[in-house]
Amino acid sequence: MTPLRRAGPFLVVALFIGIWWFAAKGSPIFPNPGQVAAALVELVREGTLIRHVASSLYRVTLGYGLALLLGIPVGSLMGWYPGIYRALNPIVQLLRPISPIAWIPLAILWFGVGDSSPIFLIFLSSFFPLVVSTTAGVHLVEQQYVRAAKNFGVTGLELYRRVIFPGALPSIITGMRVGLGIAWLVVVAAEMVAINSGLGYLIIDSRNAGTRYDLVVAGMVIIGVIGFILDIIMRRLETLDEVRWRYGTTR
Amino acid sequence: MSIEGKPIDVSKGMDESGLGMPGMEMPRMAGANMAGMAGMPLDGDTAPPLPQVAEFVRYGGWPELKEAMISGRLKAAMLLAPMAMDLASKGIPVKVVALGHRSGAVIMVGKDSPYHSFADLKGKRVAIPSRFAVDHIFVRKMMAASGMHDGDVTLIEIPPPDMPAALLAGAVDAYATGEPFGAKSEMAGYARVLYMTRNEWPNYICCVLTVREELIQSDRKLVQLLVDHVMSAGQWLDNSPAHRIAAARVASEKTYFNQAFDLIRWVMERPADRVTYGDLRLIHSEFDSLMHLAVDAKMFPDTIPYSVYIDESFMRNFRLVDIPIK
Repeated sequence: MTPLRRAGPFLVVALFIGIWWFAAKGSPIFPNPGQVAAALVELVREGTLIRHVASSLYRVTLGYGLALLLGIPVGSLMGWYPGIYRALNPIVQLLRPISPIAWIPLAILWFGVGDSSPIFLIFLSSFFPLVVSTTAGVHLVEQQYVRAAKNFGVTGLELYRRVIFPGALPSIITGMRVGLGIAWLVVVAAEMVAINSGLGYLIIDSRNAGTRYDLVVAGMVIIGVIGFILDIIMRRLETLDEVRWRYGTTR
Repeated sequence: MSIEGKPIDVSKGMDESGLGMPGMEMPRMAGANMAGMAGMPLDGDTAPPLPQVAEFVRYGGWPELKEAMISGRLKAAMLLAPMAMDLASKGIPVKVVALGHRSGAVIMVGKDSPYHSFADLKGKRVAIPSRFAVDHIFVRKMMAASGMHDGDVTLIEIPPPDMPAALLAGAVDAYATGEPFGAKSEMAGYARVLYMTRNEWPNYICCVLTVREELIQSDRKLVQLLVDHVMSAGQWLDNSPAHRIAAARVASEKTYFNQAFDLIRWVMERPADRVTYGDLRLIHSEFDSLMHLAVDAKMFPDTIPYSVYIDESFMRNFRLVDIPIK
C-alpha cells in the first residue's frame, strides 16, 4: 500500500503527460510535452527564464506584501468594531468580485506602465481575501478568552496582540494562503500591462510572436510549478504550533 | 445562406487586449463589412439572389484572431501583414489575397507637449502596439529619417485601446497606433498628431485580407467574390465623402466596431485620406520593402519570399461589384 501511495501522484502526472502527448498530436497550436521541455531548456540557456521568474516574484512579493500590511489591520478593525464593519463591509464586498483585468485601464491611468501597475493589480487581488478572512477570524475569537483577558486588565493593543490576533491567526493564515494563490493566479493578467519581463509577459509576448506556443505552455508550466511550491510553503505555516489548535489534526 | 452551406468568417481583431490592434480597424473593416453587407440575402426571392459572401465576426485581439486562423476555424481574416507573412512562413496554409486599407497609422503626442518633430522624441518613451505591429516599423522609419538608432527612444508595448490613457497619464511621451485610437485622444482634446502615414508613408500597408488555402482550393469562386467585394468596397469608400460617412455609420454599429460614430467619422474625414481604401491591390515591390523593414526590425530572422504568403490571382481577376449602401 505504502509504495503505491507514494507512487500515486507520480503515476497521475505520468498519465497526464501521456494524455497530453496524445492530445497534442498533429496540432498546429498545442505543443507536445517534448516541445515544451525543449522550450524550457531554450529559456534557461538564454538566461531569460530566471529574469521572468524574478520579475514575477518581485511584483507578487510587493503586491502581496502590501496586501498583508493593509489587509490584516483593516480586517482586524472590521472584525473588532461593529461600526467599522458596517461601514466598510458593503464596499469591500462590492469591490471584491471585480477581476483585476477590469482594473487595467485605471491602473495604467494611475500608475503608468512600469512595475507599479501590475503590483497594484496583484495587491487588489489578494487584499480582499485577506480582509475578509481576517474579519471572519476576529469574529470567531471566542468571547470567553476575551472576557478572561479583560478580567486580568488586558486591554487595547495588548489585548489585540495577546488574544485577538492569536485567536484569529488560523483564519488569517488561511486567508494568506488563498490570497497568495490568487496573487500568483493573476500574475498573467497583471503583466498584460506593458512591461517587458515576467512570466505573464512571456506568455502574452509569445502569443504575439508568430507561433511560439511552446513558450506559452512553458510559461504555464513554470507558473504552475512555482504556484505549487508557494502553496507548500504556505501550508507549512498552517502546521505551526501557534495555529494548529484550530485545525485539529496534523496535515 | 451561404455558399455550399459553409459560412466563412471574415474577422478582424478589435483590440481590447491589445496586441497590435492597429485599429484601422474600423474603416478597414468597413471594407470587409461592406462586403458582408453587400452579400446580405435580400428578403423574399425577388432580385437576383446575392450570395452571402461572409459572416462578420469581431475578435477581441490579434492573438485570438491569429489562433482562430491557425486552427482553421476561421477561413478568412483581416490580419496584420507581418502576422500573415509569419504564419505562411511557418507552414500555416494561408495566403494574402488583398489589402485591407492603406495608411491609417498615426504618431500622437500631448497637445501642449514640446515635441514638434520626431527628433524631439530622442530619449523619450514611445508606445507601440507590439513589436510585431506595422506601427513599430513606422516608428523605426521615422527614427531612421531623424538619424536615430536603436535605443534612441524607449519603445513600450501597450494595447492601443490603453494608449490614450497612457499618454494622458504621462506614462508615455508619444504613441504610434492604427486608427481610431489616435483620433480618440485627438478628439478628446489632449493630444495632437505628430505624424500621419498619410504624409510620411502614403502606401503604408497594415492589415491584409488573408484566406486559408483549403478554401482557395475548394471554392475559388467564393474567395473571388470576397475579394471583389472588399476591393469594390474600397473604391466605393474613396469615391465620395458621402460614402465614407455612410460607412462610418454602419461601422459604428454594435455588431461591427461598436465605436462612436463621431469618432469613426473623424477618422474618415480629417483628412479624407487619413486612411485610404481606393487601391487595395497587392504590389510586389511594396511587400518586398515591407519585408525588408520587418527583417530589419527583427520581426523575422530571414526574408520570407513573396510567393510564400501572397496569392495575386484573385486581385488580377477582380471585377467591380455594386456596393448597395446608401
